Amino acid sequence: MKVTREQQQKTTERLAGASAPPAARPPVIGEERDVEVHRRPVRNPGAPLDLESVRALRVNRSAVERRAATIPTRRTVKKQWQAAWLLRAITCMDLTTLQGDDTPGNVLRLCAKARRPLRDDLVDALGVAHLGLKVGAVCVYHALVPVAAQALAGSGIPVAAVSTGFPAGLSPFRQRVEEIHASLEAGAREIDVVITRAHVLTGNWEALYDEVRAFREACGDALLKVILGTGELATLTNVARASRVAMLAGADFIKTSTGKEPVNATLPVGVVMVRQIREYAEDTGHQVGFKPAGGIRTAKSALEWLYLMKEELGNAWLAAELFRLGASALLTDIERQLEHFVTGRYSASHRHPMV
Amino acid sequence: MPAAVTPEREESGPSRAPSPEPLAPIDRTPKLFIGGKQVRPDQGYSRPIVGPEGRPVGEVGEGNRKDIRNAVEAAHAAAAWAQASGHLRGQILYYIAENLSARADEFAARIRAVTGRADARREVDATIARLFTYAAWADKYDGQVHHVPVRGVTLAMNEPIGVIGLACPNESPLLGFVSLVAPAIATGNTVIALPSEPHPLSATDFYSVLETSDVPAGVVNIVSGAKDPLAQVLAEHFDVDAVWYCGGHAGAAAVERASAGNMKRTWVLAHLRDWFDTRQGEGREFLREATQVKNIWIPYGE
Repeated sequence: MKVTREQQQKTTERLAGASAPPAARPPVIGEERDVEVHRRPVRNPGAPLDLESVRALRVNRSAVERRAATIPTRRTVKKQWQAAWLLRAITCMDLTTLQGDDTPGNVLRLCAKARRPLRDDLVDALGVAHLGLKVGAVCVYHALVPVAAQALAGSGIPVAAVSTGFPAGLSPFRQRVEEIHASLEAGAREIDVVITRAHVLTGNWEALYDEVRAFREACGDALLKVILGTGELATLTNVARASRVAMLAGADFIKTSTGKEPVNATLPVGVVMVRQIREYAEDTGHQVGFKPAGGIRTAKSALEWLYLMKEELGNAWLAAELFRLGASALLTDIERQLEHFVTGRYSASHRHPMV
Repeated sequence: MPAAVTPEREESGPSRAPSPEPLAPIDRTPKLFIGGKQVRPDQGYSRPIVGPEGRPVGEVGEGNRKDIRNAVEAAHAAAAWAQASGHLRGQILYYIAENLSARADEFAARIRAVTGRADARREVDATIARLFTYAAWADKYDGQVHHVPVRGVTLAMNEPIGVIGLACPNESPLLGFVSLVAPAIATGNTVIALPSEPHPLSATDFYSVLETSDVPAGVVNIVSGAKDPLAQVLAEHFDVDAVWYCGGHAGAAAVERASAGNMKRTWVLAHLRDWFDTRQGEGREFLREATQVKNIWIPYGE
């Protein structure tokens, strides 16, 4: 962790707004410190594939499950600290819609929500207007990238496109690479690619490495998020090996799932992936981001993922540069919790603009 | 483990003869009933319950606002109950009554122990009758057709309100509880019931009847504890559609005040009722409060 410690120190100072106790209610969150500005970490350039180190990876499932089980059962952050953590979760969200019936209409609605994720009265009551709160990115299918890019113009919120034959990733290789180019041309600044799960299941690590390498080259300056489809990788050892190979091939983020598998982001899978990120940072000095996606619907589960990041990787991974939550309904639940924090009365989903 | 076996037990052999003394009753603290599950209260506290002579008769879980929050989530998750046919809801209410009747003696003994009243068995029988009443109503309170002063008719459909918070009467711990819960669920609502504060044990016994009667999870949620503060949380909750309150004037006023901010429908039964009396304790008054009317205008030409 030597390489990242210095950066962590700085991030701790920036984050202090989210973890130091404000004086009294009404709380003012992040008032004195600028919690928005994060220095983008140096991009992961990748490294040559070291097959032996990949094959040597083993995961102790019961130990991982035990570690994962401790996260949701402990007492959580409360009161103004909880509100601050929830605001932080909003800034790390990839607001997502990946439905067959997506239309420009609901993508426009999603983008409006991305620009103003919280009701104005709540923003004022929390005293966070100066933070210019917005989500990490908006994630859509290729066909809706132009709509989203136009709607988000000038907001600084990037458009992420799912690509390479999402969600199965089984279309012809040349076509998948072409898809990345097309999405970039349409205005996407982040690309979420899916891997060929068969490469993992058959242990064909060279093929997986070459595939992700090619995607990375196609991405150019755009951020590359590699979806492992962990629900279909059978074992945690496979998850660890696939994570390692994806990072060696130059992934900027590794992402758990497409949201279309029967099993989505689970904490044990998260533990395995973030520990691979940690190991990779120790080995190469490069910070790779993490994005859990699928099935994250409640404010509490969002906090659990944030705890995982803080405990396993440190504060640097609590910002949108290195951590994203792929979700949509989650935002409404966070808004409800924040309204309860402001008013002391429990809120209802219908009181918040639709995501 | 053989090493742990004491000589005395070895003498008695593996099949020990049952002790001639009856087993002392095993302490059992009922839990809250949320989302079809018996759950420990959020804070893990319980409150002692005393009988008529001030003797302790048991303990119940002390619910707090987070338990109410969880119960409201569970009640919303059970919204499919409104789509169940009236006939099915009726069948389930009959089933509750049957299962209660099979345990009538036990419930009567409990009421006698906690209230000291001699007419405990009468209360259980009245409760079973009340369940039968609303089971019969369940598929017969669906609406009316009205003539209107234009060419046409209107259909006045009685639809459930949604999620109702019920602060149950302190007197008649079983009958009062069922007198509020049964009409609400018969018409398709899901409920969070706060049982009688001094005598909650009949209501907490009742959840095992609900569990054996095919009542879908989350339709009836029971949160025991201090009634007025919990009723206040229900009244302030934006996702609770109505609150019925039985109790003192101060508590009733607090519920109405708290509901003003969110336009919630309230019904406060501030005067004491005789729950045994079928004119006061059941009927259309309760069904009307449990439903809202949707008018569908059907105009027709010449």
